[in-house]
Amino acid sequence: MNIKKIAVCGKGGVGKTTFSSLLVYTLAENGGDVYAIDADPNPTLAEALGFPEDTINKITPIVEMKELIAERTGSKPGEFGSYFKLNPRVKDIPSKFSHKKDNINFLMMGTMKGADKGCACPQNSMLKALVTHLMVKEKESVVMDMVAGTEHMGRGTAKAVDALIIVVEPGMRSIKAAKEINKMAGDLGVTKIYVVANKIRNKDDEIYIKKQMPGFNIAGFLPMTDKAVDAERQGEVLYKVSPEMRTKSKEIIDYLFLS
Amino acid sequence: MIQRQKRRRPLITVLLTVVMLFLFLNPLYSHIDDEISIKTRINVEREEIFFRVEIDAGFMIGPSFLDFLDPDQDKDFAEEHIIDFAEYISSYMEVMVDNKSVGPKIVDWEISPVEDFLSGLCSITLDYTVPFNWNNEDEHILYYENHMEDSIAIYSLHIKSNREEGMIIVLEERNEMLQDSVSLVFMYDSNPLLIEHKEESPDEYKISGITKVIEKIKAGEYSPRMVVILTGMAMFAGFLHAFTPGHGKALVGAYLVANRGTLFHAVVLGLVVTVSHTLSIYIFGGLASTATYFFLPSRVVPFMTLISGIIIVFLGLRSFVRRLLNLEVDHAHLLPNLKILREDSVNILMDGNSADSAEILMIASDDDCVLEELQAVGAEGLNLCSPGCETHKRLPFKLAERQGFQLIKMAIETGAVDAVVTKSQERKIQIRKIFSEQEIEVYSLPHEITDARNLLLNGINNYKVRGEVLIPGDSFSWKKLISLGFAGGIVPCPDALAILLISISIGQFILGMGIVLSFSIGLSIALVLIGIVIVFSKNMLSRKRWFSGVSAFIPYFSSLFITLLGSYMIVKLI
Repeated sequence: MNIKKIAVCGKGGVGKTTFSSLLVYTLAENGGDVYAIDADPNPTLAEALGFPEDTINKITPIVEMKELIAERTGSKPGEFGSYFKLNPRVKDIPSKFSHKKDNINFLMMGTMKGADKGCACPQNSMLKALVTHLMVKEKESVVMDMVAGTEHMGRGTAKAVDALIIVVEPGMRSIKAAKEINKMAGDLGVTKIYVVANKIRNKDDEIYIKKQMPGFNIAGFLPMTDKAVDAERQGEVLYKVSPEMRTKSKEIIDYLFLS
Repeated sequence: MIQRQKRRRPLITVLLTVVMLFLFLNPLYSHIDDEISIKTRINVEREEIFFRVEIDAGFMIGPSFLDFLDPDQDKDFAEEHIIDFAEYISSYMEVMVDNKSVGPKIVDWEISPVEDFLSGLCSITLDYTVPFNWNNEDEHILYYENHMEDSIAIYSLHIKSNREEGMIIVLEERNEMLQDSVSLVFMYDSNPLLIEHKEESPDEYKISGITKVIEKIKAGEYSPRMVVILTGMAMFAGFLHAFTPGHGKALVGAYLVANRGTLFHAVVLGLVVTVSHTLSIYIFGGLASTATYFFLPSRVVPFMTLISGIIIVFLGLRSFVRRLLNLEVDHAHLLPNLKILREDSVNILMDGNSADSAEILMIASDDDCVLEELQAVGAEGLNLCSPGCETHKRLPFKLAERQGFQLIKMAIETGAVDAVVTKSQERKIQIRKIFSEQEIEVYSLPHEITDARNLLLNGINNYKVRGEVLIPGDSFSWKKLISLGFAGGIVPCPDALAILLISISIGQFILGMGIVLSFSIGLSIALVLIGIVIVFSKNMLSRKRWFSGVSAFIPYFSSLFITLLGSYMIVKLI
């Protein structure tokens, strides 16, 4: 079984984005293109991947591409009572609108409109269609950085996910959030849910996590390293500066593969 | 950390909201009431107290004097009529000498000719006297008050005593602000100190600058350059004039918002108002200049206001009632979006509530067997159409339901819808009430991919056997726009009318028409700009979420508002 479509979820601050960047680079090393999708309301994946600052400043989230949305869905954002297409053509959008770095293609989604995900409007339609396409139809690998997964995905999409990884750290709050995400994803029909524990300082942390999350499939533990902190501070790519993290990331992918 | 900051421009939003409110709340019609200036000169003489009352009236009130001055309409002021008129005027004056009321007696007069009245320039001078016995050396009191047209008149008082003859004024008390009444204490002094008494300079009646220019033109001294300047001034005056209350600004605004006007519509509406305005002035100017009394401006303007008001009330009410009764099918804001339905594609309509299940249909739509079928029937593609869930959500529930259903009904009626998917049973029943099984298939939400696939395949089948397809284009109701603009502009604006009449009376007919035209051009530029601002601010405001709730109400509110404006116009006449 090939690991192609990975959704990375978790509460903000646990190191989810950093972990996503590790995954992206690991998959990229296997050859073939990788789509790195930032669907986080607080988008930081581009930096973690090592895109230069001026490129990042020029990135427009898909949700803000008004002409594109109007053209594909047939409705101008801001119009009401208008019919629009729920299945806009999105096949060409990933390759056309992503920012490239070697074989890594980066896309920023932007935040969905409306507190409730059920809100149907052209922008949300566009994002959902894009996510569905990426997860279900896109041939290349996809790593999606999101919070709960349920904002963008429906049941059909959920089924196509090869692995939904919830990132936690040794602490009640992130574990509680993980359990909620687990429930929501389960309702959606995702079966392949894993946990990756980040910022592990010692064996006690490992035990704590295992104890607090019985029944979860823990795919790996990532150590708390100065390298990680430094890398973020200096805007470097963790995958490139830390052999340790590289190894860990590969191990996790292998674990997923073997599951 | 990338800080994604939403570009907030609250200040602009607030400004635009204020602008829109201002434009709406300005009454549609309220031309400034006419002007009248009443100047009284009191001369205290030895044998009498002499009053000279000079009346300068604007061209709405002036011609009304003709009812007195020329009741038999023979263009001639007979003496008896003048005397009647003078007595009528003096009935507004109160004169008391030594606390005893006395009636002033008309002794002389000077009145401008009847043509001047018709063109709005009239000047009436009436001389009255009140007899007085001066022989004793006591002090005497004179009290004078004038309350003619006291709501709008500008009064002034000029008081003089004949000092050479020994009449001196000891005390004077007048109402400084209004200058409409005065109390004098005067006496006879055989040895007066002859102090030079500075005569107050009389107030100039505020004649508009145009009149001064007219005097010049009358004299025949004008050059091509002056014509250019006049044209420019007229255009500028017209432009500014648009911002005074009236001239259909609110009308333009209300209509544009209710019917989703675009910039183009704003331009057209502004132009229509102006054309009707200009034409109405030409017509009434021409009619008035025939100097038949029927077309006096003071009668014409209220009459036209009444007509205009009635038309506007009718249009507004009709629109409101139709919307309530759900007959309002033009639904101009919906029509442009039916264009999402394509004649060359399979169109599947998703009812608002079920839009979140589109995903499974979306996935199924990419299935090979579906794609093959699409190609087999020659369809360009598959359209999953949804009206979205923000539609009319804030309306009272009954109305929201109805609006939602209207959307679907209109879509099905085009003949281009191949299947409807809905979660709600009520919706299904509603549809079935109007459309049969043969006409449209209604499905519940599919949950499995196989159901979704079948739904799509059925839809594709229906595409094959479609009947006639009629997808309406952007049929914004031009008829309504023009009739509304026409009604709004049809009331001739007194100021512009005055210009034309004056120019006719001085024999410069063509010049007058040209000036009116320039005036109208300036007016139309201003109105178009205002319309553009309204459309623009509507577009900007529509980005805000709260606006969607408000704007669902606006079409109803707008029709009501238009009705109210029309009623206001009529009521004001009373």
